[in-house]
Amino acid sequence: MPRPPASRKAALYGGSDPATAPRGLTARILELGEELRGEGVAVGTSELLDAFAVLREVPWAHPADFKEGLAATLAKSQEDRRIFDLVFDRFFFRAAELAAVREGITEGGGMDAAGAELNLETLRQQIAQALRDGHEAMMRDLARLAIAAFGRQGEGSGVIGVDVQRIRRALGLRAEPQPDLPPDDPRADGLPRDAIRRFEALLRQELERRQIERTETLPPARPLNELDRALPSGPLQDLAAVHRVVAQLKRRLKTQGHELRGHRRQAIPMSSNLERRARPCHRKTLAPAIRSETPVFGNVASQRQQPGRRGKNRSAWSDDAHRVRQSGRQLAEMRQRVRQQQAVVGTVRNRRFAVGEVADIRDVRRRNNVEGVGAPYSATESLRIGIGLHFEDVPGDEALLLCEKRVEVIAIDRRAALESVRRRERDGPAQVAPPRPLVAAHQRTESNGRPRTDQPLRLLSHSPRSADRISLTAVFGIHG
Amino acid sequence: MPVPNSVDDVSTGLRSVGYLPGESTALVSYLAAKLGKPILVEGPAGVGKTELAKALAKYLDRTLVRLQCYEGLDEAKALYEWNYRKQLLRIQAEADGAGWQQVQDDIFGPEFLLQRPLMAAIAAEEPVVLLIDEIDKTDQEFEAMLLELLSDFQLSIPELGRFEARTRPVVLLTSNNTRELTEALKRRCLYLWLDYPSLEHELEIVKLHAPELSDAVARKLVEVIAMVRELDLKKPPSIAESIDWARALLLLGADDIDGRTFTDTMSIIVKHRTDLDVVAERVGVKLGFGAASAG
Repeated sequence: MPRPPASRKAALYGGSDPATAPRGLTARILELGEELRGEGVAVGTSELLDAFAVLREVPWAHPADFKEGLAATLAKSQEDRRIFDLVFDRFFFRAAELAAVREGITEGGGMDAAGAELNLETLRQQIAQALRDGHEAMMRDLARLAIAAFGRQGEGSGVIGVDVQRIRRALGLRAEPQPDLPPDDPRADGLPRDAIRRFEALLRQELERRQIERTETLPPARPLNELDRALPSGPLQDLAAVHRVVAQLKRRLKTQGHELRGHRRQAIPMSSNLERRARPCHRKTLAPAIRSETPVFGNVASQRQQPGRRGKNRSAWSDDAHRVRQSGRQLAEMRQRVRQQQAVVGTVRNRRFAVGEVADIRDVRRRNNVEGVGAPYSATESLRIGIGLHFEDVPGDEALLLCEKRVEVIAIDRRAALESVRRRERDGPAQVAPPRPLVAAHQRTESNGRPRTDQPLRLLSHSPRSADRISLTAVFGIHG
Repeated sequence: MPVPNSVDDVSTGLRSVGYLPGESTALVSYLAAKLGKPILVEGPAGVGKTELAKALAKYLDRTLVRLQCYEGLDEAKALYEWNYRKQLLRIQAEADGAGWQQVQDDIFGPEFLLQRPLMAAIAAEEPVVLLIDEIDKTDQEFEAMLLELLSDFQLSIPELGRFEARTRPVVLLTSNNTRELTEALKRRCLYLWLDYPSLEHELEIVKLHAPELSDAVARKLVEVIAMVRELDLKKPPSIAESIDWARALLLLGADDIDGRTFTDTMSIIVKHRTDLDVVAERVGVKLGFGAASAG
């Protein structure tokens, strides 16, 4: 039974050595297709046939058209195109070098000899100018000169990447501005990052070319992620890339509701901790959920849960789809128990609270015959359903934590709460201010007079019981 | 009807109808015309994907048949539909003695077929340019339905049989890349990614569409646009918005883009409230709006 070929590339030539593989453009295109497949690009036979059809229309001697024509048929997405560019450059560079080795063609070392006569400072400036202008051909020529001038032929580290970085440092090529340099120096304002990368790639290519000439063999092809640092190179980097994308998507999703309503994302000053955390879109998730009796009661308790205490911290609101189901059930239960006059408790940052009321706010207003500023729920004029949360005997500093950290739960009157606690600290128990509404006017409305809709929960009052403990009442509101 | 013989022909032809193509755009358009392959054009909104189809139609002197895609688009809206009312009338007008076969032969004929854009492109006597716009808005079933059309330029109607295209249309599919298209669809197309143009290219485009704008203002405009695009915005300004802005500046008689002019007119290029804040803060200040307002 014949053994399966070691690789598809080997199979391409019936198991023969690729170095002795058939010559000609057709064979090279097939090899290129194989390399692309190896990098995860879906290149089928139909793509290769299209590529051959394209090459009948586009002269292969015109490099730009040749590359674009192949790209149009072999790379069918932006990601594929990025890989195609890297593989194309690597493949045809190596193909040309292999042909040169076969034919015994060398470029000679004339450039090294010229290196001694180079004015290094002029060279630095010329390279910087070429990078600034994005002049590819000039960059390629100057890369050779740079190797001649700074490469210290024969004293190389043996690792091409190290030599590239050494030359780059010697040239002083940096993306950041360099105020120490004279203003007319092209490097003074910093150089385009992409151009620096391209120049590094050219340096690398030239160093590789010299290595191939010296050893008369092709080194193993370098992985793509060495050619482009943006490409993930291992499972950990893959995972990091995934996390980055997920975080980006989450940010977009969480701010989407606010954008639709035309509100500023951060209208009130928040601590840096809060800035990192976008607020959930309560309107989108909670209102329909409550209406349909399957509300959302999210599990976003950020503190680490201890074994055996799982589920006790489910108390904060979230629009996270994964948490909707279980938390929805929880609030549904809560509503039921409130109706049955049972005590209901939840926990926010380990602080237990009782749910005092689940009611239609408009009914409450009507019942109490109260309207306008100063009345209960006055901060919630546009809210329809309100749920009162009573926190008993909260230590002062924890009240601040409740206010500051759990923005998903408590619409903050941070300033007032802060002042209250500071005053208490300063004046002692006898001087504590009497209970009063903590909703400040500046937080009730936007500058355009419209009620804020991104702060569903309002801290309504606090009642000091001792020097360091207060009670808080907050209401969570759903806009109707 | 011009037939392009080289990439330069296409490039010149597209320029002659007011579309300034990049190198790859001209090349892929040429290949599509020569090889008869559809082009899948992807890129951000407002970079000229739809305009490319219009320009190609104008340059090749062909009719543009456009299918605007949306969620829920089905065969009846894209391919063909039987004219049920007419069929019903025909049945009612049929003589009493007519048998089932005779009635069926009568009512399932081309006379009762309502052609939709794809069918119209296939059945056209003269070659057309077919634009399937925003294909990413449709679902995968619709994509699957397109496969026969894109590979063989034919349609199968169960009651009538197979319709082959009389002429080979130039087909462009555009996508804003909001979802990944199927491999099968991509396989049948040449791929073209259209990105925001380079500074010089955009300057050329702006000058073409607003020739009265002074060179200095036009250059500053594209530089500011490039600056705005570098910011992390919800929607970076498109080429169309650059042109609109240029025309607005002309209308206002602006001879420079200073901080005040920019702040007054930036809503032409920035269309989100948060983006407006970001742009005013980053770009407006650079242009000296802060200094101007303080003074």
